[in-house]
Amino acid sequence: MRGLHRLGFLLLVLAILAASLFPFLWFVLTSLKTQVEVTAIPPRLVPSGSLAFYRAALQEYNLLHFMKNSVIVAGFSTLGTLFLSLFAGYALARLRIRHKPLIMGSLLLVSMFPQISIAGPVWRILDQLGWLNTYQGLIVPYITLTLPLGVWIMTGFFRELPRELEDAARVDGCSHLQTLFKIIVPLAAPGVFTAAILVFIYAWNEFFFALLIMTQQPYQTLPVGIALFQGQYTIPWGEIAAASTMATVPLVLLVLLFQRRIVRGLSAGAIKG
Amino acid sequence: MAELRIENLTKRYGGSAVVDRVCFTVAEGEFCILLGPSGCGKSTILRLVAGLERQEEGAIFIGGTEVSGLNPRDRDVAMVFQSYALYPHLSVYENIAFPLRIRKTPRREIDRQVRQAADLLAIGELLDRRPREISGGQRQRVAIGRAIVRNPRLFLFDEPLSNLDAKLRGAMRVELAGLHRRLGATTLYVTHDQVEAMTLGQKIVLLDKGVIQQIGTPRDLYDRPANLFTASFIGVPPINLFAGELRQAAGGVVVHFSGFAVEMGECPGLAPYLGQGVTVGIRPEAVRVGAGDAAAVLEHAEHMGSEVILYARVGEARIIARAGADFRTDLGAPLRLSVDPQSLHLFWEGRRIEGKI
Repeated sequence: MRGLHRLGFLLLVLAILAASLFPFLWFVLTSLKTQVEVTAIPPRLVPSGSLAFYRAALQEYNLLHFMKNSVIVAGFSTLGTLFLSLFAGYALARLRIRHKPLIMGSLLLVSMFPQISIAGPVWRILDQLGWLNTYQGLIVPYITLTLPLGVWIMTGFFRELPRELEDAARVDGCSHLQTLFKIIVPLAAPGVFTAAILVFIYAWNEFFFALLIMTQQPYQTLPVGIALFQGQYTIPWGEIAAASTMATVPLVLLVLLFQRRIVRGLSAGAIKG
Repeated sequence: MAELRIENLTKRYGGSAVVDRVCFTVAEGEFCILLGPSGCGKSTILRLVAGLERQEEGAIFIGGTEVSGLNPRDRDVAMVFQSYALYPHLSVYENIAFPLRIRKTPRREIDRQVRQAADLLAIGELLDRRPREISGGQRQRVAIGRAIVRNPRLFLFDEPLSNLDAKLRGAMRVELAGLHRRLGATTLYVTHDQVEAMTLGQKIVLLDKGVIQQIGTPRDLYDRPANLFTASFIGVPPINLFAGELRQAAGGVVVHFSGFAVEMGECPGLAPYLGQGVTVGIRPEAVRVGAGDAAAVLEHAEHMGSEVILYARVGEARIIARAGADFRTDLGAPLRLSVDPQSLHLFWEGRRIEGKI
């Protein structure tokens, strides 16, 4: 019976994995095909391993340029959100503030607005500021949109930390800021990394605002850049697949890298005993 | 090292005072215990002294300087917490070094101080370990190391031994006493454990509900409890308390309670209380078993090895007595008990009657 249970569990996991990984697998396979193989009917499952599409994506479609923009936008959005949510989270977790649940609730509420409902006002504000087609024009809205998530995560992690550690740090000579950065943040590292990953992924993948705000090629991010690969009459499937693969790989690497930190951080969380 | 003086200290939470006009002084180099049941405000006083909380009224002087307005970092006190509060992400070495690093002490000096403290506490082999990799007793030493490495003006201990098992607690108690003898540091030590208080303290400040009940040496508190709270809080097994009455007889004043009639002799100090209800306190070791005119029935006996604790019934009340280890009597057997007048504690309206002898 137990063996059967295990087998069922394994099959279910495999099925879920296959379903979620299939699109990714498909465009990785497509990216390694030749132009003829892409349009072949019936479709070929095993590609010939050609790197022609990668070359084309990098050279003809200038992929690295979009990637640079994405790194800048997603990087600064992550830093900004982390910085602000560290302080906000610490304050909300520790200080005696009135209406704390209300503050936390409204933060959550803000993140529930559908993007389309704030797109108009955001565009007008950015237009007034002259921030359309600038990095900050995308970074600031991203920070705004990811801040609730960041604050919630950080508040949750800070709350779990024993207060005596902060008391000890303060008696040992730390100012409030030193306590935060020398004691609290290292201990809440899993939370910091979790928030960082989620914010970075959001900013890296975000398409709607990027398309709306970055109308000129010099500032467009990866999702927009790749989407605009297609011309009026042609859809360069192979190049899009190659570009998408290259856009995804850094993210996967990043998550794997941070995941190790998260696990380590969690096991280091043993504080009392 | 410095003297600690606390004047009129008051702290309120939501309108009710958890520390109420507390005044006491810890002399330079003295080991002072803040003792009391949980919720009596003793930890709050410690936190007020450390600067982790702010008082509503009163003043705190360390070495003659009023520190109430200062942040914890500027008060130059060190604190050992109940949960040890070691920084889990730092090694033992870095934990001990932390207060020095924050104060930007030169690296070589830090190293010297940390190793000196580690030697003193016999934790030299643990310096590279993380707090989670060492035992509770070792963590306690590290926490003490972190406190002594800075040479603060004042040590604060918040129930530091309560997370240790009984055996280790006894050993650490001896070590703490030795450490204090060696360092001669002014120490304020919070505990609810009267054994710790009696064995460690040079001075005990006994608190209940935020109010000081008595200040004195362990002997003072045990031998001359100022009120019923002190009398019943200090002592294991606890003091016997009976409702009694003072009457004038031919030979002087006689205390009547629960089948006892104890002749006090001529006691002018007791004259105002004649005919009034008093509370009589007798320590278990002051009850003499075997002779006397009070009849009791043995209900229970606890053989402790070195002595026997007897629980007996006298009249309506129960009395606890200590007997030698060789005491042998069956349960339910009649006992004769007597009390030495010198060892009686008399209380009127909760306060000790002074000058009875």
